[in-house]
Amino acid sequence: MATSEITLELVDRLVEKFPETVKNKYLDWHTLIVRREDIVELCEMLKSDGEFEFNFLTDLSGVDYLEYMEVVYHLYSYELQHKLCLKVRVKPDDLLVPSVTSLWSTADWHEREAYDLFGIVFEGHPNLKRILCAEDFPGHAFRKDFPLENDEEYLLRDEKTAEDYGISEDLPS
Amino acid sequence: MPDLRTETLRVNFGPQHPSTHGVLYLIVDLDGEIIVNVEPVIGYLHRGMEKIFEFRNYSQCIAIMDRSDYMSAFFNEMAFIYPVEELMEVDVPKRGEYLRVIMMELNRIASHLLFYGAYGMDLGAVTPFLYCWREREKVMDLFEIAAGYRLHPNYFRVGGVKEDVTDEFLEGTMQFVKELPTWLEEYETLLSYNEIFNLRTRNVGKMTKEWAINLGVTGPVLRATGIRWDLRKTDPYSAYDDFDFDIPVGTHGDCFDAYRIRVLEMLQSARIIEQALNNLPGGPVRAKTKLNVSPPKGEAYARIESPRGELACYIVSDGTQKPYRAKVRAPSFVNLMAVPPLLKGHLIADAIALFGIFEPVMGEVDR
Repeated sequence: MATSEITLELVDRLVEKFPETVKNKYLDWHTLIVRREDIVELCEMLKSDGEFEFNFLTDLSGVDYLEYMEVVYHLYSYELQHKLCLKVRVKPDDLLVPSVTSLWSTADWHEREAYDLFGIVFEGHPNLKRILCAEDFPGHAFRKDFPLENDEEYLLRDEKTAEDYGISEDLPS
Repeated sequence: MPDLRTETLRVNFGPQHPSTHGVLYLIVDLDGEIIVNVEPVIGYLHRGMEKIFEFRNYSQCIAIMDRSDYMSAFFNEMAFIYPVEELMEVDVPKRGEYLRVIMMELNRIASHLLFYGAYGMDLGAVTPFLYCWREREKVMDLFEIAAGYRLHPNYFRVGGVKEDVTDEFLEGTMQFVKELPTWLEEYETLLSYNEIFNLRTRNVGKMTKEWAINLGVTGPVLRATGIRWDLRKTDPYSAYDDFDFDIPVGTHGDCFDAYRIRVLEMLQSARIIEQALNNLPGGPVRAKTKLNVSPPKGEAYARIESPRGELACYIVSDGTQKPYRAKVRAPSFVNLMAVPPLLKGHLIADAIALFGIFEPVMGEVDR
């Protein structure tokens, strides 16, 4: 059985339930741009509702578009064999996104990676700390404005970390 | 009797340790011999590959992508090219697709042979490694004939492959796949029917379907839990639709099943290669695309089945010759996430057997 796209009726049902959502399509992936307030509720529905049954979060990536940052979720259902892409956009000065680790454990490291490389802070993540870069690494390496060569001014500037959002970044003892 | 004082002991496992297959660092908390907590520390091999992509054109990216999972380079190339081709709507000639399939399946055999040898060695059997290396060397020689390089071939292009293969390659490959089943039989006497190996892998690490899906585990370990899931069959790409092959699945979800599936997969790969060689179409090997492609504005996410699991690439194109963002969904990275919950409660002696089945390649984990 080959993988199929999610049907348009199902997508429309989602848009009806969450009216702020923007519908889009890239190749064979139906894409929804979701408000960050809605993302956890929407994902809960996608996971538990028998019509969706998205039990597998394939990928979670961050993308920096300068005016905004994007968190991209690629979802998949083993049972119904359909797929869906979700996006959450946040402004660079307020990079708080609710975590989906409570729904899919696999989001754990993906979210840590997005935090490490883009500085997107996931609210409710059990262990939000850097994963690929060293703990004392200055800045977030995959942002578009990150300098390729040493730029002391950039490296010394103040940047919001998880702690500024009231989330403690526990270092291993 | 006086109270015995007990406390958990913290042990550093790696980053320089032969059985971690690279630079994996595990902080293990032990209560006697029982593992109570594991924390993987990764990033020792982080090269910022995805950032480098943003400053290179697409054909340069293919060469860098080779270095991601250095044990299965052809899959990396395919994973990167596939979404680009989807964006550009390139029609790859049949011969090009068939050659890709042959290369990838040969690479799968080479990668699984490495697993076979290394996993045996992790558990104390040194001999299989030497045998496997002998056969893996033959595959490497074939790669050298076709692409000019052994580990990092840089052979696939957007729209096909670099150049046509020679008769020497085709004959050598045919001979290799004809001989492979006999060798595998020989190897199986070394591990599959080995009493010690059986004791150390059977019923170790009972994994369930729900557990694996929730943690995003893919590849042979997912199939060991009984899910018949292989993207070559369930979401066919390249020319996999044309071939007849089976997907081996396990029943117990233990280490032995995950190991045995790889052996059976090698036989299936040989089957695919044989069919591809017998029905190899003529004609060009590459579509007429520019060397420096500039895909139209948009984004694509495409997945393939690498020896380690689901390897995917998410490419955002802004219409220029360089990707705006290229994210690699590395199966080793995601599978490694399942190691701490899997190891908890097991004996320290089983730790190697348990994380060995994921066969993480650190180049891919850290990218």
